[in-house]
Amino acid sequence: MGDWEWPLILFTVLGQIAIGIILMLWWLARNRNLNIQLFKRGVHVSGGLLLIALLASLFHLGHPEAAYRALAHLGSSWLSREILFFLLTFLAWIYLFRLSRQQTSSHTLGSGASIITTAETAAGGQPTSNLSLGLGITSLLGLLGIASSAMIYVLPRVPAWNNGGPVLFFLLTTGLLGALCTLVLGGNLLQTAQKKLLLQVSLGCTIFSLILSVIYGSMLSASMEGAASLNYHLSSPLFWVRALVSWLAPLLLLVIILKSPDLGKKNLILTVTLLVGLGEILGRALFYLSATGIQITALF
Amino acid sequence: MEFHQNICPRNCYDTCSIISTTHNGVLISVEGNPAHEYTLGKLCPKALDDVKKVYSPQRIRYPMRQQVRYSGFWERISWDEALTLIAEKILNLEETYGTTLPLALNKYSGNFGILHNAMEGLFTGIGATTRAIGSPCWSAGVEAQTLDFGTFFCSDPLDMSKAKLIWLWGVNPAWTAVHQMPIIFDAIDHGAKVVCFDTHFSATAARAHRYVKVCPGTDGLLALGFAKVLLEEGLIDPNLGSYTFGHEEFIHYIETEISLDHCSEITGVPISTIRNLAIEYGQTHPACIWAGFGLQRYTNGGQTLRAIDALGALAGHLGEEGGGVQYAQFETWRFSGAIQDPFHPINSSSNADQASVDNLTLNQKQTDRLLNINQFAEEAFNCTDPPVKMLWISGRNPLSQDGNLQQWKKLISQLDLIVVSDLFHSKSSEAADLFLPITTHYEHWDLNSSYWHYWVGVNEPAIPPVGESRSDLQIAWDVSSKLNKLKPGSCAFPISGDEKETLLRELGPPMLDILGIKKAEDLLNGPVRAKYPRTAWENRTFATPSRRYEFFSSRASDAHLSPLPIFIPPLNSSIDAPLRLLTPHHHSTINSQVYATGTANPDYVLHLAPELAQRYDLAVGDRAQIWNESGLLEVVIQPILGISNDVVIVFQEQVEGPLTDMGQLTLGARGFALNETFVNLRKL
Amino acid sequence: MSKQLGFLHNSEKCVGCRGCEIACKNEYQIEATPQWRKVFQLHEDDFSLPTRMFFSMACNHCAHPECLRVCPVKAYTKREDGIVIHDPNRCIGCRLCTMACPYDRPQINPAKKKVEKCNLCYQRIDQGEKPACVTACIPGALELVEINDSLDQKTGILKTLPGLPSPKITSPSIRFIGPKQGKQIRRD
Repeated sequence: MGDWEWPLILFTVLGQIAIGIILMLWWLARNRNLNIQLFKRGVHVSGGLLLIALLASLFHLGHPEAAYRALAHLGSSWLSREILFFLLTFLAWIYLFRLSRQQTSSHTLGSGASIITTAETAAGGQPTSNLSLGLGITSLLGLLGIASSAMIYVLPRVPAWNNGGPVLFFLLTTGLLGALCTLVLGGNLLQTAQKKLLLQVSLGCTIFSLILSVIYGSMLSASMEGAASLNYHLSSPLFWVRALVSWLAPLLLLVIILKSPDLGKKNLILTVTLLVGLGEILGRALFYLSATGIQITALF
Repeated sequence: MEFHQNICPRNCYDTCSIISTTHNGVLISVEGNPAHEYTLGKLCPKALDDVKKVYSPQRIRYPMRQQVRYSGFWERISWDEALTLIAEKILNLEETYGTTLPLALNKYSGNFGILHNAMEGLFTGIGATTRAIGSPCWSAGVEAQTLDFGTFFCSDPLDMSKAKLIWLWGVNPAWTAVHQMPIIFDAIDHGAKVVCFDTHFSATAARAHRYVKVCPGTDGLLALGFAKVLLEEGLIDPNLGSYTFGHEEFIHYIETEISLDHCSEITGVPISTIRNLAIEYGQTHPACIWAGFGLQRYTNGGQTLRAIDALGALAGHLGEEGGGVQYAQFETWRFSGAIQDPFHPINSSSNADQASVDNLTLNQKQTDRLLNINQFAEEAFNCTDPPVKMLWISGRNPLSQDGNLQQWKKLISQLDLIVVSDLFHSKSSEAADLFLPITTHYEHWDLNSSYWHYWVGVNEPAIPPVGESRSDLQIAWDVSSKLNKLKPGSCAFPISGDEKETLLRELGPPMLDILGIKKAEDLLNGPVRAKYPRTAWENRTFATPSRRYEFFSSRASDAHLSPLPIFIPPLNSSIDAPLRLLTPHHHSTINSQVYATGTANPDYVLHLAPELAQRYDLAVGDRAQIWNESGLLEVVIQPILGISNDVVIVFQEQVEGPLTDMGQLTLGARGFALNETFVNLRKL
Repeated sequence: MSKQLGFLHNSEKCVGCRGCEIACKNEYQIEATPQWRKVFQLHEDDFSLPTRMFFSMACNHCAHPECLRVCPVKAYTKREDGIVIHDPNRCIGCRLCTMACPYDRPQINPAKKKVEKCNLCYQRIDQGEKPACVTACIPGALELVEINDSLDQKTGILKTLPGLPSPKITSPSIRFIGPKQGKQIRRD
């Protein structure tokens, strides 16, 4: 059984939220109606999260000062690839950050939060294609980084991980928390249609996560070590808390929000986001805690 | 880098020859000596851990004093203070009681080096004192073999590789004499068959072709049962008449008193097995029996060994190359003894088992008060005229190893001064007033023999003493010096000297002759094998009064023992204590000297058959208690296969028990029937 | 790769004395926690009779080392003779190799915060000596051998023992001579 890998939990979950937010912004920007304030907020928050995530990952290392060497084995090490993609993502984010600064300089007047403008009008002539491209490249690199993160755990030694599970779960976290955090960040800056879309994404991810977990769990029993992982989950109270706060509660609350007339239940959205965030952190903790490798089972 | 010759002084069959490496006066590694034909360059993990032991942070480096016993509050004092305390107490006791008899020494095998006998020398130099004598280990067997063969002698361990059939009887060399294993494997590779007899399925048994589980304490009867089959099958050596004494009487005893049905019932070995094994033993030449020490730690232990000897004799395996009945030897321990007693050239050693009571000088018999080491606390407590008031414990940890802990508590409470000299604190030092730090074998000169192989060697210091530690010899000189300073003439032991010279003096003419060297200094070049034949009793001339192998021993009957080897049932369990507790050696420990390999286990582990565990509703890891009238021990349960349902095993823990039948004659005191301990068990 | 060095372990001869463990620790002055080599006792229920059998295992210098594959800093290299060497100077203590090895042989040294493992005493081998553990083995149960087809074709040579991970994961360079069970006579 594994340990409480706090640095890894923070790195993966925060990194996935950051990239999820950028992914959602890219999606919202696709038909040129991304609010520029939301863009700025999103870029700033995701950048902050990405930075914290990268810093947290250093604490996992015995020798953080030599972390740069981790890029040395791109040929076969997914950890090297992960670091590469995350660094590239960060570089791309710097480009986004520059864009957001340019927005600020060109948007000096009437910068009230209540003013709703589209990107196109607010950009003051700046081509939105740059912005969209930046978001797109950052999202793509980020998603590659997340997939690489997940591939690190695809180890023949650990049956519970040696499948598509890690990649799917990591991507689902990205979508779910990305959408919810964008909802929280967006608030009134989001159009109702956008809100609805984001809520639907969240709901979809939750449902998919639930179904996937059931299928995945039933697959685990195939190997002794997988069964041990499954058992660990089912017998851990943390798992049941996770099931409550990141499956059951969101299912219920998201439906309620979606059914509300203007989707404006701000507090409820914040609640769901916090619950899901907690649930995902617990889920990630369990991911590491429950890892059972094939090992020597002779008596010591 | 410098290299030094050392010898492992532990109480172990192997007595390995060590090459130690030092760098700038620091011991950096120890390796086996490749030039030693038994060690063959390899050491067991206990010896391999020596560097860590020498520099262990737990090692006591300075003389220490504990104002309140068991308090654990030790303060560092100077050697001068320590020696003054000791000397003043000795002189004070002598003045009060008019004799030095209140002064007692309890010393055994913590370090088997010959120079450690300086402690005996010191006590003799002081005057008549109280001594622990005998052995907690092997007395009954030593005596049995002495009665049968006349002296205590075994074939060279390498001789076993020539055997076609090896019976390992109550011995677990995989754990207790690991250098013998390659020799046994060599024999197996050359087609030898190995049968292992034991009370439990040991690591050695697992490597034998056949394992025979024998009910504890019935091995003697099993040997007599085998003898019966040899008689029935006509597999008796036809030449017995030429080199044995009393074989007709023995055969008569077997014919009339031993029945295979009874033998099978008592020993738990099926008749067909007894028959097959006996026929194989009778027909295979050479066939070797190795009888272990555990066999004789029973109330009938001496008889068991005599019965096994007789079986070997009956089948004609004695004196056979690759055959015989091997137990141990003490022929390479004929040191001059000069260190022990400047007044009595042939003195008894209370530690090293080598001299018999017959060898005690008249002087000492009259003056020293000799107590059985196995009943020391009880006997010492009962001494009244004068009482024992001061105790020096050296090379022992009796409060962990002895049976009667309640008696020890009583004894301790009446003592004015308890001195412990050791490397580390122990159960015994908890009760002590003074702790004297001693050197390891890497820090002093010494001289070592084995009781199994025939190599003798000098141990040279590799490094200076760690901290303020001193060798036993140095301590003995220092105490004598202090005594003579306070009261001139109060101690006849030398007040100073040279360790190397002292050890060379131990190599007197008999030893030089045994080793085939011209002068003592020759041994400084490296260990030497004694010039004894590889095969014990190869010309079948024995050292008994009759010069023959004695089935019938008049010396035995003189000592009120049966002249013939007979079966006497062992003690039986009772309703109060239904389980027999066995305490064999573990591979990582020697008695209470523990060598941690990996994480230390704070609990005593009780091994028992799964079925027995079930009967007491116990599962692996459960906590339970074993107890009998003399004590109680908390244990953790570990069921294992291959143990009888009436036996439980704790590897080396304190237990209490009765005495063996023999040992009085040869070693001056009867042995410790460790394996006749019965306990009850309950879940916690 | 021209050849593959590895270990041949004879469980019939290994008495579980742990001399190899200590010899390894002595050779490299390893602290208490990382155990480059470790002696395991075989589960008794895997055999028809009690066995009291052991095997000793360090790094298996696998033909397909997972440690080498996952290491992000290229701390692992595989020599021409098949020895997998871990270079602590490159290690950054990410511990991924400790997760990837089915034998748990790369282990973190908590004091140095770096991983350590057996390098098959390559410096001794280069001088024509045997590894410290092999030299120390009193009953001669542990041997240094070349792992190849002709070894695998010998009778009694096993690729795995009960209680060990499947050799398919990493193709470990260790072979075993398993317990030959004797006859046990008892009457309960």
